[in-house]
Amino acid sequence: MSKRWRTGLSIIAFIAAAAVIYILPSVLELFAIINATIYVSMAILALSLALIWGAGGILSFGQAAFFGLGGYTYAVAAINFGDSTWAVVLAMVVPALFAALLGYFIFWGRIGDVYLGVITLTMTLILYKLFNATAGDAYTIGKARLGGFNGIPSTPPLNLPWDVGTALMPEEIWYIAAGLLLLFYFGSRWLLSTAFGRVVISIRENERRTELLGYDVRRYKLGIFTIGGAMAGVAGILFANCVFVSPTMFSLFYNAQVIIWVTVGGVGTLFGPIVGAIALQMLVAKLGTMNGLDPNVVRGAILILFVLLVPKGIMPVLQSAFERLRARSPVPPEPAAPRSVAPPVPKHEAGKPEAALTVGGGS
Amino acid sequence: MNALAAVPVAQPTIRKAIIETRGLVMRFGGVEVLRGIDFGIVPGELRCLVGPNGAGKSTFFKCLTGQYQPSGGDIRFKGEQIGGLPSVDIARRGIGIKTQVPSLYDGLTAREHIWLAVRRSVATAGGFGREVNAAVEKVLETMGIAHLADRIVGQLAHGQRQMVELAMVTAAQPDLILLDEPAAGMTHDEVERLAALVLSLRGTCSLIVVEHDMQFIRMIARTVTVLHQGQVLMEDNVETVLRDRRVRDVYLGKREVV
Repeated sequence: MSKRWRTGLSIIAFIAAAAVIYILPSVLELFAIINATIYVSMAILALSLALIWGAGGILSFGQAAFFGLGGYTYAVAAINFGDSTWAVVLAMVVPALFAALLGYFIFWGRIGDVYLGVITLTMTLILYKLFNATAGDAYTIGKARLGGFNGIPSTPPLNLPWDVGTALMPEEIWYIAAGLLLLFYFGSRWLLSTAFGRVVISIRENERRTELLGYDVRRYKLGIFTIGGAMAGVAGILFANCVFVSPTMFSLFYNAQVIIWVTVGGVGTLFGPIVGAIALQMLVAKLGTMNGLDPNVVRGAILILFVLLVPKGIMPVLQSAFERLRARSPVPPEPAAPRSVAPPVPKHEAGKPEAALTVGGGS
Repeated sequence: MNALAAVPVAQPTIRKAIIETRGLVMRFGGVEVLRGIDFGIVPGELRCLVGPNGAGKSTFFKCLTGQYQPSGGDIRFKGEQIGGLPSVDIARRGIGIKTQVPSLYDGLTAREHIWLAVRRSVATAGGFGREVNAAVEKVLETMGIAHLADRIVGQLAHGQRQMVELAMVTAAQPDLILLDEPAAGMTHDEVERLAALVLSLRGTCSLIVVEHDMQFIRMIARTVTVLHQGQVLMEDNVETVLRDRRVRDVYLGKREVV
């Protein structure tokens, strides 16, 4: 029953999300639509970290490295090809390959959690310095000038596949971005339900145990890390379409933000980080219009408050509140087992024969 | 003296042994925890390994499963050298371990635990999802934990957790199972049930059981190996070992042994 509940909820959520995505452009002004697209690209970036950190237990401090690489690859390739079709493909492949290479050294070298954080952070800061230093004519890739700290202001917008003449309008890019977010969200849920995903989750729970069962944990970690890298690359493409690419994409600012979004939304959930990313950006944008409030201070304050008061994040708290409400309702559907995070409800298996070992178990 | 002390009951020849160590040494800095262990069991055998705290039992298991790289000596499993291989490779060759501190996935259900173990062995043999799921249900049933299947393992009582881990280890169908203090923290009923399960496994696979609970050892053991200060002190059938004065001295902490 619990499973059917969840499927039902998912379908309702999907329809609601699709409706909102469809209606939004007719309600909002152009500027707001572009902003919404930026939020969605950030939500995809948050989702990519939710996969590798929340599901895989790999805390990367450098998720923005893949985001920036995706953006730059897209811009450089689109300028050179004149057509964005292959640029999009390349902008997924390059961050994925970069993640695979970095991941290979990290996981095959058996580098521990803390050092993994240091290495990924250092990597993205090196890229930040590197791209900042690309001012001048010497730094061109084909027709594209990398432009140092100015980035590439002339980042071309997406066009219809193999149809260079038809550049997409902001509304259309919004549909693509929001559609991709939906696709990635449900895709990630599917991924985590596959055999691969379940082993990945087991590694987060107890890496040594999974190893002693005979799974080569390095491959699974590399797999999820690479998938997360490709997804962050897509976020970079969408961001490049709304703004333009510049070295700030690699900056500490973005790296820290993603971690805050995932923490606030709930590590270990997929929906939470999306909510966290969108809600916090809306909040900060709102506060930015007021005088005398530094958005960065607000961001920091929110992180500290959440870590102290709601360490599990928004989604797990909402989920367990929901479960508790259902448990209290007069017609309980069935004492279904709590799936992930839920209050420890003692249950009595009335209909089932009691095995000997429950005697001392107190269940 | 070690080899001489052993009675020929289960003294394996090199060819027959499923697992065999020769002069196994494990050093941590200047401390020699295993000091040349010669040990072996034949396929299908159930061997108990006893010894006071610090005798090197858990270290021995960690060497066998690749969690430690031995400092010296040989480990042969099914005739092949496995000393120093990574844990994954050793697990894949067919050694499963239940560790001393239960090593479980606290956020997952019992069914997920069994699934992870079954899936590895069935998928390796070319099986598909449906076969895996059927095998999972069967293991839950035969191990008597079907009623716990959907419970989050982090919320189970200690004895139940032990059973889940044991079920998981056997579900992977290893040829050799190492059990490190499986009866620890169990109630008397649970211990009896555990003993029945362990005895039912005998014959289908080989087992080495480390245990302090002498009641439990009497229930399951035939041959017992006694470790003391990183060496094999004696190896004999269970009654002889438990009667032996040296073994009692070792357990009660008398220093001047042999």
